[in-house]
Amino acid sequence: MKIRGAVKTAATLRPPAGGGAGAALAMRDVEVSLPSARGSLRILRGVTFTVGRGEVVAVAGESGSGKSTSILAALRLLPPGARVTGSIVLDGEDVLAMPRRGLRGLRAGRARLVFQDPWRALHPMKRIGAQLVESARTADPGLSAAAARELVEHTLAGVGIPDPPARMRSYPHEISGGQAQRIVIAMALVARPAVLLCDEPTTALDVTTQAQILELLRRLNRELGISIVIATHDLDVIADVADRLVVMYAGEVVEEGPTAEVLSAPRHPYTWSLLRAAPGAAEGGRLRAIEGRPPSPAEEPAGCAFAARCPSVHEICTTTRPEPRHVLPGRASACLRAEGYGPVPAGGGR
Amino acid sequence: MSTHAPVARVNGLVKDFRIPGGRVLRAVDGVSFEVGRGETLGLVGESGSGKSTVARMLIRLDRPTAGSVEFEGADITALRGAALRRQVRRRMAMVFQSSSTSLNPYQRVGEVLAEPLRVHRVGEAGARGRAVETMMERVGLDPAFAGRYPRELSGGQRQRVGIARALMLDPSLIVADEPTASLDVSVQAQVVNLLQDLQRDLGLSYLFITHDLGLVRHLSHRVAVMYLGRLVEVGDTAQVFAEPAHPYAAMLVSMRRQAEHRILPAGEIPSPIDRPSGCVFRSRCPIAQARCERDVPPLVEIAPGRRAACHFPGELRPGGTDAPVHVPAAPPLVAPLTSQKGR
Repeated sequence: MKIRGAVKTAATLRPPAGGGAGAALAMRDVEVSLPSARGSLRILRGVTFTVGRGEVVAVAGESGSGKSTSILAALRLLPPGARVTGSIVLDGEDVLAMPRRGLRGLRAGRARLVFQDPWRALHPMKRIGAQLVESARTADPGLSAAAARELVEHTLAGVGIPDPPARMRSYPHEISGGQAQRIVIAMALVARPAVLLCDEPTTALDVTTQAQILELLRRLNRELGISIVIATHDLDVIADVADRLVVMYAGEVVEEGPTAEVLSAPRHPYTWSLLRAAPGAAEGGRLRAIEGRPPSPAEEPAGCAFAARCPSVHEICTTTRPEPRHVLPGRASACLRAEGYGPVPAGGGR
Repeated sequence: MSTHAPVARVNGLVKDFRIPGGRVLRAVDGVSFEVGRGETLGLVGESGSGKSTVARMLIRLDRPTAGSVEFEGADITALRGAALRRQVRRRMAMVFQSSSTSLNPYQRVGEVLAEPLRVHRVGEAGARGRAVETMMERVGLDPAFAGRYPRELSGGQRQRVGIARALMLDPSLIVADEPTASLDVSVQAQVVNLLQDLQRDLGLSYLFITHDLGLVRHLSHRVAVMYLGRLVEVGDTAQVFAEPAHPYAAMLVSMRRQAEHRILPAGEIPSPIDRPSGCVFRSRCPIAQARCERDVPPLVEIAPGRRAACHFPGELRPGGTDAPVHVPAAPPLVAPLTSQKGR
């Protein structure tokens, strides 16, 4: 038996206007450092990953791993003073070289961000309809007010909001968390984005609502071809949604590959330890905690950042920094010993 | 494991809150359950289902509108003053969700832990200091941290302080309200292991509130499911997760199964101000019938130790089996190695 939430078909939603050639998002050797009282903190250390057109990619990691920073960096939304090097291409635009004006247009239209907390993304004193109309008309200034309202109504129906005209007259405090997150997603969709960047989109929600929102994202991806990047700390949640998984640790990408493959047969000891630490994986008895803590952004480990907590650390791991490299077709791992107990590669180059 | 004498029991708990406009919001509507000695009872439900309010009434932070609370064989519903402090405050304690906001930022860890002893006039200063030191070791904190402020500790360490504080007066029941929700998975595992060790060593009972189903499945002996202020199902955790009787419980446990077996509820949870007539779940229930609109289903025993509040218990069954979703195969490099690092 299978019951779905009351959602109309996505026929009412229009596919994105953009969507040119190339990847939806390409991050290459991205380094981000933030100034602090005690020198600069390196938040991202050479992050490289791509999100293909029409793909759903999850960027997973614990707090401080750099998953949210990666998403914010892709839109150049980092706090003032942040130093970013490397290259970031988002929907065909070189984000780091873009002028402010162009950047604002990009954020309003083709690449939209969905935050963790829907309440903070909505203005508490403006009606929902007005906020969505504003979003639609900022993305497309040529849109008339009437046309924008129509678009908003259709989009709200498409994301599963019952009685859209009534909801458009509501204020954000009058709606539930699940509805608020749907509305925030609709607010992004009315701009007809090619890329949707979501920062922990379901963390603030209940389990069943979480499943509904992820189902919605999956549907938007399949039916409209929107490329989606989801930053998350919960590997269980994204397992069925994401095509590919990027695992981050201490500001670095440690593993990357098709979601099902990474989850069933990880090639990096961190991914494995993390999966085993989840309560679902323990068959009775104790949970398998990862002892210790990740290095702070102020520390600069000489070798692998995970070496101090790694269950199979080798001498070379404390002196040589591993770079992500292909270990299997479509799979990358930043572990010097990802092939197993053979001879350990000396350089660990890509 | 649970024995036959429960440490705490609530009977027909009701909590009304007055809201603007002269209306009444019934947050908890006739909840009854018991927590066995040495047992962990998991309390699950959506936000707004009343689980925290139930916990607050059990621990006598909120006064129930109706119903009674029994604890260690005595009725504590109306206790006040010295009797409340002696019979309740010293014997029950709470571990809060956010370790950063439940600790006073200007109080050193040692003072945080000594405070319950001081307030209840247990021992003199020297003995208190030693008790603090012992407790810090017990929860895996370096006693040298006694002089530190909460902001100097990591999230996991702060939660250990929260647990240590709850244990200072040697309670028999701990109410834990989402104690690991703000922690990362790897740190959560450390804290959960600690809670289980303490339970085994000290014979503690836990009322464990969470909406992490994997966590409930892992650490509670029995589970109680709440929906919109009512208890809809109670039973042995493994049984409820394998064969849920109430449709809402069926939906919850289906979230742990393969995607094709998941049952998503229709629509949103109704507002507790306008609750549906009859069964509160009927507006989202895929198997609701006319009868569900008229009659409130009572919470009745459907099997030994299992109670469910549904006119058609067990009729909505999720497919598949309850199993760990991902059990990863070890990477080729993770295997016993010779020399190893310390912690």
